[in-house]
Amino acid sequence: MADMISVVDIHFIIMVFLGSLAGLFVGAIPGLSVSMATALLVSITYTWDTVDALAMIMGVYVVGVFSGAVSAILINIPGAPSSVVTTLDGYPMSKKGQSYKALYTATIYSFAGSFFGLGALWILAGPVSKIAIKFTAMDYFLLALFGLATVGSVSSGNYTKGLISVGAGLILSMIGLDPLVGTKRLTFGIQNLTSGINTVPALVGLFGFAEVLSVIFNINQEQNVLTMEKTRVSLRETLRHWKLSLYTSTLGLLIGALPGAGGPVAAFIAYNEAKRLTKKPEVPFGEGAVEGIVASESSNNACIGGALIPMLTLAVPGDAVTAIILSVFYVHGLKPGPLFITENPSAFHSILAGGFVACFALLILGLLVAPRISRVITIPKNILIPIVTSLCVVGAFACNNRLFDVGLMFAFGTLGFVMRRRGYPVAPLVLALVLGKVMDSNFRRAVSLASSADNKLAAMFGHWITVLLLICTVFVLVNNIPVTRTAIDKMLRKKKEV
Amino acid sequence: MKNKGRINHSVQEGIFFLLVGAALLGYAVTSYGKAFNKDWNQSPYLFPLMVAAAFMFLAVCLIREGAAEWKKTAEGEGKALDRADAHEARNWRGVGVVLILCALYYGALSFVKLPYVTVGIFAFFFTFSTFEVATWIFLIAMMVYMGVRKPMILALVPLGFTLFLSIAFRTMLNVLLP
Repeated sequence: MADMISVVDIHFIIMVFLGSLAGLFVGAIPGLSVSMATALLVSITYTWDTVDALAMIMGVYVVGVFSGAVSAILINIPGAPSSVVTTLDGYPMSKKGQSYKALYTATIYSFAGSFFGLGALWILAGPVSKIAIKFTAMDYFLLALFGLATVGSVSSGNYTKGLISVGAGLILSMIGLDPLVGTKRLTFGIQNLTSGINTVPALVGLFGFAEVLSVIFNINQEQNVLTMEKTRVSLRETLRHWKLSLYTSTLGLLIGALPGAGGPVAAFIAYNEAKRLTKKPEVPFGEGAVEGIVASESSNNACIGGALIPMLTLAVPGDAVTAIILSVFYVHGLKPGPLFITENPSAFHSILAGGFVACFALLILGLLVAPRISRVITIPKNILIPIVTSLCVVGAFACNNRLFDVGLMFAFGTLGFVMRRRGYPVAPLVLALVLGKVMDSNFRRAVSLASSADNKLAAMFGHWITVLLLICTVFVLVNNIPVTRTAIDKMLRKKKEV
Repeated sequence: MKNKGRINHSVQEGIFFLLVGAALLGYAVTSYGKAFNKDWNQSPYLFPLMVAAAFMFLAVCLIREGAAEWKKTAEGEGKALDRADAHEARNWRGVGVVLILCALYYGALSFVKLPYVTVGIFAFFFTFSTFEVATWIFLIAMMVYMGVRKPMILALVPLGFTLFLSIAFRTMLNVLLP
């Protein structure tokens, strides 16, 4: 606790609040996303002090996830994918003149969810790191593979397409010098590709420019803003859903810790659980039930802490934003992993302190500013989109000062847009791009070490963590790939008949 | 019946991915053949080989799924698909125009070299060059294409935002601009 307080000074608080304010607008404006803002921030904060960079990014992350609810409630368009479920009850409440109550509930339970998730990160990061120290090279490879296998299953309607995104990300991660021997791979004589694909322009393209193209593609969609009437809302009345919030926050934390699952999945599952558990809601679900907002907002904000646990202790990001934060770490020379907390306590405490300060910023901004920004969130897209495009150019260039990266950003943006149109999720590609080199080096290290042992299989898979991870990975893959699942179903049916 | 003639998207994409996987497999094997180190354990082409094999397996799975979907497609869906396609074609054209504008913007940043001009107002100085001019023109072009017609907006927003970018990034944050 003392370590965390030592990080916090007035400069730190201002940085978090600036990030939070940016997160409020970025998250609330449909067409701008938290991932896009974080990706742009990586390049801007490149020359900053690490603590300042982390403070601002945590502000954007925590408040950005919440503020997707603002446009979800006021204009029926979620500002962020994790707020899709909030529209189901938030917008009907607004249509009944209860938009202030809906925003108030969303703010209180987003605060509760974020606080719960960060508290869990604080408590669990140490024990998870202690387990992670026992990991072998093969364990790291399998853990990353397990993460990529699960990301495909939760981020897309079609598992095969999710895995193809993973494969594409792995192929792109191989471009450049190989991590062990330093041999050039897949550069095709292009000198700028020797250092590999820089993650920053790739992320700015996949999340920023792809979003620009998507908005242009769907430019005809109309928005209706409902007027806000400030009504009296009792805090005691709002807080009576604390049990549901605690349960859905726990769900959000667990789902957030799974690589790739993130807020949207957590919010959907939590919403279904809320429907199942709330026998007699005051208003039916889908027609303005407060319980729907409680479940959605608690769970998607609790994901923040959940996603940071594997990112900090195992260097396996839980979602797209933590994948970007991971690249911030690399840019600043930090190496997340089992020894991260002991070797870099100040960075760990900056993240925690930044997160907790951002929770209070969320509360203040959510109660005071969010109800007043309905005009801002409806900035015409024909003005917003050109501005975002030029920001993407600056973001892509600033990291390495190479125009080649701007071209790379446009290429990745186009790829991201085409992938979205064809139903291929982008998040698995990003995670695979970030994890590819780690997987490659750990797998080859494991194979090399085993090659000198008498029993090669035992040397590679003889560890209990390895066996557990292998079983989990094979189970997820076999159970989700439609072709293998159908084959197993057929086999089981035949056995039954016999 | 029209729909029967179309090749399912998943099948097309599956074939494409199969070719990509085969190309990667070929690259890994031929590069390994040319390499001095013939030990697969240490080879930088082991991982590409594994990924290529997995990618090809997934491509085959996608083709099988697409073929199964294709068989199930109802005959009456042909007209609805045509209408949706016409709507999509219009939107794709918009995306294409924006990509062309972005390519021109990128070309201007890459090949046009204007001198750096520093302007000082009292104690405040700011520098402008190719990036500022190209961004200003790009913003106006994008806004005009996207239907902004008010002269005040077209005059103020691109200029104001370009100045903001230049002052905030180049002058205040010391971030290099293209």
